[in-house]
Amino acid sequence: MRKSALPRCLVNGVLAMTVNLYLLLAFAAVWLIFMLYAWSLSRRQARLQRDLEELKTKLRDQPPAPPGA
Amino acid sequence: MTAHLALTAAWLLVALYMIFLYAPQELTMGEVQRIFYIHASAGWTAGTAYFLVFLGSVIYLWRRSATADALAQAAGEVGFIFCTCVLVTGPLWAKPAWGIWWTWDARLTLTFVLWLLFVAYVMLRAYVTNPARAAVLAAVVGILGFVDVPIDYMAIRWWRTQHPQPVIAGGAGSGLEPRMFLTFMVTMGAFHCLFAYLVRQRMALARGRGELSALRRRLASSAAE
Repeated sequence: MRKSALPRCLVNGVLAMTVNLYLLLAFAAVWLIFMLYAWSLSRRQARLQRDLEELKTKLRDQPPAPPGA
Repeated sequence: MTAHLALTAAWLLVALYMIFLYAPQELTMGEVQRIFYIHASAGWTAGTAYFLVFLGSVIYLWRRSATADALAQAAGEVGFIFCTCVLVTGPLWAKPAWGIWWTWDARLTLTFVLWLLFVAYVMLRAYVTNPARAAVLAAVVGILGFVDVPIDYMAIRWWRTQHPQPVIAGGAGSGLEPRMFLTFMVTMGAFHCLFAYLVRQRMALARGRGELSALRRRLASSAAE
């Protein structure tokens, strides 16, 4: 009786751990996908901000157009 | 934007608390059933996203509204992210529940088609160099592709599938335990709030790019004078 109880307990434990691994993987994958997208968005926004500042500086530094031009 | 981000973060934390500590454990599948809350919520959000793509595309073709086009573009890109989450979490739930990662039943196949439509939409926007042409082509894909969404929703009602029958609005015999239902609703709300936040961010990026193009044109014309 005791002999068969141990392996069953082990099997159940391993099964439970495997099932929880799927749960862990699913949640980790979702948060990783969201984090990667949020990071990509913020990187694109930072680059855009830099380009905008650069262009604004260029426009400011340009000599004013002669009157009547 | 900051208030929206704070609300999203708080809502997501409440959803996580409810998923792991409030919702009861399902009898047959056990702990792994908790994937349901993020899997189904991501699926509904992807459906909402494609509806916004459709709506934005129709308004753009009808009125040539730049805002509608920006909304469709943002919803397309963010919807792709949510649809990817559905396709990642689905197999991770299917393997312990069904013993297989994937099967080509009606629901799974139509969801994969939806993901391909999102990919096509995002690629069109990225690779067609003329912005006006890209907007028109993407709008056509956005409108034609919308056919997939209601069929995908009805697939588990119309056909016998490996995917479970509906638990929400599934008629007699369907339904969720009240605490599970509440947890699902809160998670779905949190995902929609996150979706709205990301769409707003993406639209702000599109507005910034428009401003950049206008500045470049101004610089080029002043250099030519």
